Amino acid sequence: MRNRLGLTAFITSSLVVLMTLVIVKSGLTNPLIAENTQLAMKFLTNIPNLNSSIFSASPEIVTSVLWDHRGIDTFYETTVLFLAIVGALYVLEGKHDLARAREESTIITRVVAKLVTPLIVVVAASVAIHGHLTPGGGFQGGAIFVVGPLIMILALGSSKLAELGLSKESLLSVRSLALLGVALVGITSVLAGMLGGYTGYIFMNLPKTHAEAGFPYLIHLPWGTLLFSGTLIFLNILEFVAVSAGFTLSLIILDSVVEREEK
Amino acid sequence: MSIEEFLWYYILFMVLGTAAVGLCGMVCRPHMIKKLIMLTIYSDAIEMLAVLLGYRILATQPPVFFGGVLEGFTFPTEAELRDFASSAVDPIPQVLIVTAIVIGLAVMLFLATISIKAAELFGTQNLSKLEVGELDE
Repeated sequence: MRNRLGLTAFITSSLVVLMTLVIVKSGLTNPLIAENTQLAMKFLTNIPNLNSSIFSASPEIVTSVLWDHRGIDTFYETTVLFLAIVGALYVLEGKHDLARAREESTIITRVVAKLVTPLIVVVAASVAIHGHLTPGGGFQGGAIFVVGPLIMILALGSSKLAELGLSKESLLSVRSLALLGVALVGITSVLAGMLGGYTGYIFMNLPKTHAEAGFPYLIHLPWGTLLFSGTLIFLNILEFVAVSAGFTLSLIILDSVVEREEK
Repeated sequence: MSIEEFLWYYILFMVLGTAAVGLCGMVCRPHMIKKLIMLTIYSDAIEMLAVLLGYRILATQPPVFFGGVLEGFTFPTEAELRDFASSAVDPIPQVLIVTAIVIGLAVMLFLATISIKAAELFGTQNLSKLEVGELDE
């Protein structure tokens, strides 16, 4: 046992030295180079540029690349999380006898949890809805949102979440509907192109010179002109709903093992 | 060697060292929950490494054009864009890491449920205490 430990430590530490040498010597990155790579420069200069062919109508490069330039990849990534949740539900089906009764938390914890949770939810929604303008997006907003249910579960138990309407069945259906919404937004330009006789592609954002069936990026309202960047705002909001419902569901699944015995 | 360069090498080595600790723990520790914790440390260190590869010494801002507003947003001119691109960090590692974090959470969720099931079926999560018998017909 001790020999194996020493061997593993030796191998991993030599791996560290080797990786450092490879990274520094191969020119993957170098602190003295001040310029970005060519691909990064292409994204940075062309995505917010009105005259460019890969214009995404958004000052946020990360969200634009994520949902416009590699939208199908992001869609399948969302389905991977969906499959993990379905697998967890399947494995943890039925009754469990692992449980231990949980102690009631103090009044300070309960009151603070009730005060803080709405703030977290508001911050998460703001990060997700402004995802095409400021740093953030659907995934990031969803990941912030899940902290709210986590605090509620730890302080008040998941029966409190059930009172708010967040049951397993409703969360799973919300998650499925949001994923369906992402897919529908993705094929909208194909359908519009087929109906109107234009060319349209899956997960296409703005109209291109050779494919006219795209989304607009500005909306004129009585009080001003709003920028919503084509598909980006819809995909961000749907992804926010999908990720928050999915992670809340997974927390409820993992907590149900403990909670069941308490009743 | 300037102080910036020294700090950069120091951070690179530390991140790789954290990854090595995670890898070592994943292999050596027999307990499932400890393996999960080490897996988290390992994946976080690798994500940190990827962010670090996008850093440039003159970069002073995130890859988001300054001043994004919902109402009346004006798109930047060519000169503003050139200025922006020369002072922003690389966006591509950040894009990849958003993907990697969500996939990592999915893997974590599935492994956690499997370890709960193992504790229920075998009474232990310690892999060295598990007795692997022959399967009955």
